[in-house]
Amino acid sequence: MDQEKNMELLLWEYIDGQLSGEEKIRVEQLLHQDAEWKKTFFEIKEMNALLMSSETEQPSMRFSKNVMDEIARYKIAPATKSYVNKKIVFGIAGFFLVLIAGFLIYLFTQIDFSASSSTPMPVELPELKLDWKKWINSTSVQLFLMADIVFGLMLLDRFLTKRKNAAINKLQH
Amino acid sequence: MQDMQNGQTDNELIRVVLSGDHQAYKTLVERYQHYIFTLAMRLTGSREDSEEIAQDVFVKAFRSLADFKFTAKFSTWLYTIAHNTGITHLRKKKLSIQSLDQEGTFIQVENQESDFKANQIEEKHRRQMVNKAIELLSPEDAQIITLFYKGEQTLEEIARILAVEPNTVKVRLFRARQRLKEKMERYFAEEVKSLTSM
Repeated sequence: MDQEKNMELLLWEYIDGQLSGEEKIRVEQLLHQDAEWKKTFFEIKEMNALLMSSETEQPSMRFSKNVMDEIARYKIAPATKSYVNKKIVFGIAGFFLVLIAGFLIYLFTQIDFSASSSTPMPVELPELKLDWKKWINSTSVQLFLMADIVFGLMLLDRFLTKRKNAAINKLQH
Repeated sequence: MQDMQNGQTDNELIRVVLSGDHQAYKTLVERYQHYIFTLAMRLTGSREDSEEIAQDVFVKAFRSLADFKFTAKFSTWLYTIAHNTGITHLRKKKLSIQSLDQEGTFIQVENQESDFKANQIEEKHRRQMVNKAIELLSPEDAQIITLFYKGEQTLEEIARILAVEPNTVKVRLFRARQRLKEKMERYFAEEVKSLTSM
């Protein structure tokens, strides 16, 4: 049964032109020598011809008119790339990369590489000497929120200007 | 499927539509409506649902036309939309995908050893037979066969449409053709029997 399946698979691949040079020669040899291969080949070939000649279904006569009536209600949406600004994406990615790099650099500067061999651990875990209270307080939080709001307003302004320009362009055309 | 009727290729027509002449889209609709409708028919088996799906596909394609990358074939892009729309439609309607092993519609013949004798049947009749046999397949099998034979898509393009590996497409296509062959052998055998008894 498996042999029969392999034979059919190879013959379909042969008809579809999917076989490599060597495989093609091998199949052609088998077609000359083996009556079973030859019989199956002609069955598959006929099946392929039938499939090629199969018909497509026809939609209703009004189909294209219906589609055109429907699309009259819509506009072509702007291309995705035009409203996804790559500079913003790269900017955000850059910010996080700088943040991670800065954190790693800080960690490495805290490691005591000259630790004596008597130390049981080869690497002494650094002690973070950050004064959190100095950095995270109500002023810094307020500054952070304000920066967020300014950034958000900038983006909104950019979006509205773009929409306005698009509408002006459309009217001009 | 570059142009045959009005001297413009798909890509040229798309550029015309994007430049503002929306009527040019009608040529694209007329060029592909049969294929999209056939694909939808293979999935749903219902003319009403298929018209709805096909219309939805062309509207979606029109609205997203600015996103079409001219590096791929328009037909491959359109069939991808058709496949996704069809699947979404099936999920929404919760249509039970009827496996076409509804053998009741056709009488099984006892003569299992009968060979292909399709050459005894008229060409047009034979085409109808193939279509009926395709209708007997599962939607997945029918779709892959339609994309390969009617949609003029390569295995790689079908893989892109169905979001699977080309090797998976190869295996699925082989199995679909095997199942179709089984059904056709039975179906044609019955037809030949009725013809010879006349």
